[in-house]
This record gives sequence, C-alpha cells and structure tokens, in this order.
Amino acid sequence: MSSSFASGTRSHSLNSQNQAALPSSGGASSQSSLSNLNKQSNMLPSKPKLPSYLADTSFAELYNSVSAEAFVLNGANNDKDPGELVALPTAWSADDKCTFLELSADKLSVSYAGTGKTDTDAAAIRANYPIPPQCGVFYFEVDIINKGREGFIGIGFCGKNVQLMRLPGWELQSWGYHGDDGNSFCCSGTGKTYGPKFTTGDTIGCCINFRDGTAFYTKNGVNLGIAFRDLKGILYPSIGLRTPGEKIQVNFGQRDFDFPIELYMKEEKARLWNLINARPIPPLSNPPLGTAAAVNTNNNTNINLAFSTTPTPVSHATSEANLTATIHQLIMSYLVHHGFSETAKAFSKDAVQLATNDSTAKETMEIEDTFSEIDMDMLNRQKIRHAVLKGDIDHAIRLTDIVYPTVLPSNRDIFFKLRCRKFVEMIANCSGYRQSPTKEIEVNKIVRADTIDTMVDDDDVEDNEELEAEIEIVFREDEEKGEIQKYEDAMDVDEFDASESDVEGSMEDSSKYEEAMRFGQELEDDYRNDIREEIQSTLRETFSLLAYSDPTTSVMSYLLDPAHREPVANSLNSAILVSEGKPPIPPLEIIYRQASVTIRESLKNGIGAASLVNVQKDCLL
Amino acid sequence: MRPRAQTNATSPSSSSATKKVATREEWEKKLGEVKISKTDLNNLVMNYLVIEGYKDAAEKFSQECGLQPNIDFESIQDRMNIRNAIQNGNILDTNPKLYFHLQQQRLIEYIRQGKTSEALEFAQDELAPRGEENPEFLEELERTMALLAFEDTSQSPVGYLLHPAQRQRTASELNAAILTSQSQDKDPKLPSLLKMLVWAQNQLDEKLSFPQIRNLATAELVEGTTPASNASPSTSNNNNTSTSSIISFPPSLSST
Repeated sequence: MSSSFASGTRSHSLNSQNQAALPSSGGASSQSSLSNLNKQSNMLPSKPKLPSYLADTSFAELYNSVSAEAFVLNGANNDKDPGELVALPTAWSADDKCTFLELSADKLSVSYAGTGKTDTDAAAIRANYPIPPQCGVFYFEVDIINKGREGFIGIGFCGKNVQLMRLPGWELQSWGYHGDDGNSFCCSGTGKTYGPKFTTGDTIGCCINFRDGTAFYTKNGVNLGIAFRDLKGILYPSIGLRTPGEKIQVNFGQRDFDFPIELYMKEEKARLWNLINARPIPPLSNPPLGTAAAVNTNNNTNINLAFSTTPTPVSHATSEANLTATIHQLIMSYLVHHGFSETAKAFSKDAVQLATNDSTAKETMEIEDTFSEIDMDMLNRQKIRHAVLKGDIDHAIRLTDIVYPTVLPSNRDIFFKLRCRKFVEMIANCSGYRQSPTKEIEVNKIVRADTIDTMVDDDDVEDNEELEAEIEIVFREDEEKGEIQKYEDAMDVDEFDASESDVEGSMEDSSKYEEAMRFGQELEDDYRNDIREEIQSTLRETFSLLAYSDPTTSVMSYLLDPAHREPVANSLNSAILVSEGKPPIPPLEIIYRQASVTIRESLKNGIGAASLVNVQKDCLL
Repeated sequence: MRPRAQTNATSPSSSSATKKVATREEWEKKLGEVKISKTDLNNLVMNYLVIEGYKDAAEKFSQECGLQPNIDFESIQDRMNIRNAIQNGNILDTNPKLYFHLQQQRLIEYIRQGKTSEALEFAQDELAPRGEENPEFLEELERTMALLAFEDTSQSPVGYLLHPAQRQRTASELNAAILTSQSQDKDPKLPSLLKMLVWAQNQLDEKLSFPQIRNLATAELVEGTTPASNASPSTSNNNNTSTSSIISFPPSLSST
C-alpha cells in the first residue's frame, strides 16, 4: 500500500497538466487513501456516491443502509461472502496491476510504460473493487486518450485471480473488446468479429447485466450489441495495454456517460416487469370473495396440499381471475382486521356484483349472513379502537372485558400498556392538555362473544351455528350508554366548552390530580416487582411526567401526544384478533413484508435481477 | 488482437453450491424489521379501489381510514379512460416530452439530408408551438436549429445532434415509453406487489431455503423446500405436510 503517497500526490496532480485529472475525483481518491484519512484529524471516512443510474434500484437501498464507517471497515475486504459486497469499482487498483503500467495520482488514468515488443509484454489492471452482482447492472466508460504505437488496447472484465500479463479476454474468466481489430474475446486467444475498431478520441463503454448474464459495449454512445453471454461470478473491470504510448482514462460514474445508461436501466426494468407480470398467479384454495374471507384463515390442510404439487400451466385469463380473487380476499381481510366495516360492506357488494352478474338470491344471503357475523366483530373492535384513540382507556378496557373477556387476562403486557396510557391521559387531563375535539361515541349494539374458541374445529360449520346463537346476546343500549356517561362525567373528557372548563379549571384539576396520583401509586404497586426491563423502563418513562409542574412543556411532552395512542390501540386490536384465531397482522401486510425481505435476501444472495425491482418504490405510492 | 504466446490458464473457480437455509426464527425477525406504515397500506388499498373503479368502497374507505379525500372520485372514470388510451397504443398523448423528441429527431433528419426549407417549415409548424409551451423544449429547439448555421456541422458545438448516438437516444426513449406503457405504471400497485412476491420467492428459492408464502390470500408462511435438485422422492412427499403457522412478530412494528 502506498499510504502517504496517495494523499501527498493528490494536490500535485491538480497542478500538473495531467489529462487524467478529473474535476470530480474526490470519491475515488478518498477511498484509495482511507488509511490516511483515519490518521488525519477531523476527516470522517466517506462512502463514494452511487452512480446515478443505480439510484432507483434495491441495491441503492442496501448500499445506503451501510454506514460510512462500516463501509470503510468492511467494504474493502474482497474475501468476504459475496452477499456482503456493496462497494462498487471507483478507480483502478494501485496494487492489482502489471508493473508495465503507470497509474495517475487519481487512479483513473493508465498508461503503458513497457517495451511492447511481444504479446508477453501485455499488461492489464483491475479495478479497486469487484462488481457486486447484486447491483443488477454495472456500466463504465473508457476514454482512449492515446492509441500509442499500435493501439493494442483491450477493455473488459475478469475474475480476481486472472493473471495480469495478458490482455482482457485471453484467459479463462476474462472477457474483452480490442481496439486494433474490433474483435471480442471470450476466455480465449481467438477473437470473434464484434464491433468497429477504436482509437484515440473514442469512448468505449462496457455494460454487464447481471439479470440475464450478458455484456455489451458502446462506442461513442452507441450500443454495439451483446458481446458475451452466460456471465456469472465475481468480476472486476479491467483494461489491458500492450504498446508504448497507449493511455486510457476510466469513468466509473464520476462523470456523465456518453451512453444514456439511465434509459437502458428503464428498459431493463420494464423488461423484467414483463417477465414478472407473465408469471401465473396460483388459484385460491378458499372459496372466493366475501364469503368468510377472514373467518377461514386457520384452515391449513387443503392449502398445503393444493400448493405442494407442481403448478399446472395456467392460462393468462385464469391467472388474472386468480389474481383478482386473491386481491379481493386480501383487501377484505385487511378491512376486517382494522375494523373498516363500512368499506368492507361496500367492497363486498361491489365485488359480488363484479364477479357474478347473475348472483342468485341464495348466494347473496349466505354472504350477508357471514358478513353480519364479521360485522359484529368489526364493530366491536372498531369501538374499542376508537375508545383508545380518544384517550378513553377505561372505556376501552371495559368494552374489551365485556366482549372479549379472555383477552386482557391472557395479555397482561397489553393490559399494562393500557394502564400506563391511562395514567398519561389522566395527567394530560389535569394539566389542561386538550387534543382533538372528542366525538360522541356511536353506541351500537355490543355482542357478547365470551364463548368464542381460539381453535376452530374441522366441523366448524355446526359450531359456528351454535356460536352464532350464543353470541347474539345483545346488550341493552341504555346500559351501555349509562356506563359511558358515568365515565365521561368522572373524567370530564368532553362536552364542556372552553369557557366552562376554564372557570372550573383549578378546582377540577386538583382533584383530578389526586386521582391520577392514586392511580399512579396503584400502578407502581402492581408492577414494582416485575423485573423485566421493558416494564420498568416504561414505568420510569411514564412516571417521569410527574417531575414537571407543566408536563405539556416538558421534554416528556411527547408522551402526551395522542399519536401515542395508536400503537396501544393496534396492540389491543391484534391481541383480540389472535384470541379469535386470526392473524395478528393482516395478510396484506405480511405480503408486503415478505416481498421486501425476499428481495433484500435475494440481493444478499447475489441475484442481480432483484436490484431492478424495488418493493417500496414500485409497489407503494 | 490475437495473442501469440500461450500461457497456463487459471482454472475457473466452480465450487459446488449448497443451498443455504434461513430458519423461521431468523426470517420472522427480518419480517418484523421491515418498515411499513398503516398509512402506506391504506394508500395501497385506496389505490386499488380507485383505479379498479370501486367507487363506493373508495368513498367509504376515505371516510373510515381518515385519509384525506385527495382523490376526486369523479376522476376515477377519467383515469380509466387514460389507462385505456395507453393500452390502446396512444402513448404519445400522455408523454409530451417523448412526442417533442420524436419531432425533433425528424427535424434533425431533414437537416442531415440538407432539406433546409422543409426543416424550417417543419420547425415552425410543428415544433415552435411546443417550444412555446415549455421553455425546456424551446431551448432544445434552438439548439437543433443552430445546426443550420454551420457550414460544417460536424465541427459545430451542436454537432452531437447529428451523431448516431442522438438517434439511439430517441429510440431508447420511445422504447422505454412503450415498455412502461405495457407494464405497471398506470395499473394499480397491489397486483404488482403480489406478482413481485411470487417472482422473488421463486428466484430466491434457487439459492436459499426460506419460509415462503404459497397461499397469497392468507399469507401463511410455510417452510422452504428442501434443496430441490437433490431432494429424494420421499422427502418431497413429506413436504406436503410441512408445518405452517401464523407468524407472530410484534404488531407494534407495523404502525407508525
């Protein structure tokens, strides 16, 4: 390594009239002199900017997720698992070169300094990093500064262990395009007619496509067509020179390219999407549409059988129908999960209408029967959610205990979270912290569901009928209203206009404060002996509100933010769903998570095509 | 060039690739780390409802999930019309930039052929109105017209316009627009998500054994297949009864 050399000559290269000196060589030189940077006082290690044609890829996300420090520590290690490679070639390697070659200070220009008598005088150089296949597409351009005596210039790429006394393409694991004859060389001393010759003043581009394992060259911005196929493995950009006077300069993306590589990326992405869209979607194994979309989720056996066999060819129309049916189920279960009951009803109607124009009355009946059952559940969960989101924690707890009596006893941590939230709400109330104008709780009928099993048997049809009979015990509305009213009186959560509450403010506050303190004491007593760190830290955080005379202006005021009710509401909703044997997370969300992780892991396993799709950018809005 | 001296060839490195395994535990941890907000998913659903024309459901949804109804529900039909136009091949109507570049290319070809009067007429009739609409276009038009001012255009600063690369640039742009119009851009995002998942699982399955979703509607994770190439018939039978379970990573991660 030329540790002090690199930084020492950098300023020099700016003065010298070296044609190779680039205006934007910062990225490359910062990397080559990393060891110096660490010694130099305040300079932080930096990560080279990603070439712009890769900006929208999944690889970009992987690249950006690696911190500059980690990049410096690990990025340079070429021996690690290929999946961990994120560094891209940014310059030529000062070490990985034939001695006949001279490298400019910015490590971008190479000139031949040998005798150039025979082919044994050929000299090649590799880039500082290999190309990570998971980048999907890699492109670089080489300016021919001088063709020298003969212009025996080769441009290409090769494996790590290919010897550098030869021009690119002459060895196994080596590929090149040569200027003197325009031939392409694929791991062989015998070239194939490929493109035009190239000479002084020309710009030659080289593009490796890891999606389909091909490479093509460009000359002065024109695509010359595919030169190589079946490429795989870890490859380094490489050039080779052979006669005196030859000189080239590389562009690894620090400057604009002659060739519109961004457009090529767009085409590549579109080609990949055409492939993705051509994939058949498997049929549903459940009955389609609104019928029990969410109820039937734990009936696994037939699902596995249906998908373990090799899928038979599916026609496009069938695949599209499968896709629509699948999406309908996903949307329905999503709506049901979050308790969007009105949307679910409207959607279900639309879907049925669209699916069958001649839907018989009986089918409609069935759908409505099943739906009313889901509907009850949704309304109940929606009501509980609204109570939490309103800050009315006591009400949420009471409703949960009535409708889903097993949930809180078996989910003590959620109960704890609710109580902590309640304490925060009490503090918020007595410090006059008012948020959203509270809405009147819509009091619908509440359904008792305490006999709902978490396991649904095979013969659940009969059970469902029994269940239905049992759960249709409707609470009287006035009882419910009374409960809410009592609570609202006690907590003074709404219905007073501003002036009224101001007048009573101080008096009210002191008694409310005492009540909050009593409740806080109770909470502390109950959990003092719970040694789990998350419990204790939550307690500490919650009680720290008391340290401030006006919590609303304190550093802890974020706790008072109504937005913090949402996670509590979500946890409770999930716990209720789990108690009913439903997934804690809607299938739609799992689909997204699975797609995201699968793409990321594909990248880590070197699947280049995965770089060209981006779950977040392609599938979200 | 062709080498005269033969040297020892390095043998290609070909290690027999064994399929790695991701355990359910590791996998679920990763699933839990994915950043996705409820708002994102709401938008995804809304996007489907709107584009596929579920007008009632879309309206209810915007009320219930508190999404600002920034979608004009009356425009649902308009969107459908635009989509149909693109699917029927009217790409240029929706892409003024591409349209301009194609016209510009035609102008360049007139100039190349020395048809100066045709070039002037064409520029005035077809391109100048476009330039008035868009300063970017006007600048490009002026640059193109500058070709006429030079005796030897190849030596002029705008000579690059006559280079074959310029033709290719325009052709690529057209190609990309056609491909885009055929793919997902004007379609709802949800089908793309599902298709991407099916494709991605299939790709990764060649390298890694990991918990997969086979039933897209229920999104249950089932254990990855045993290494497909060397799986014996007996093990593939056992796969039929592979365990599946409902994943249970913390739901708190799913909300913002």
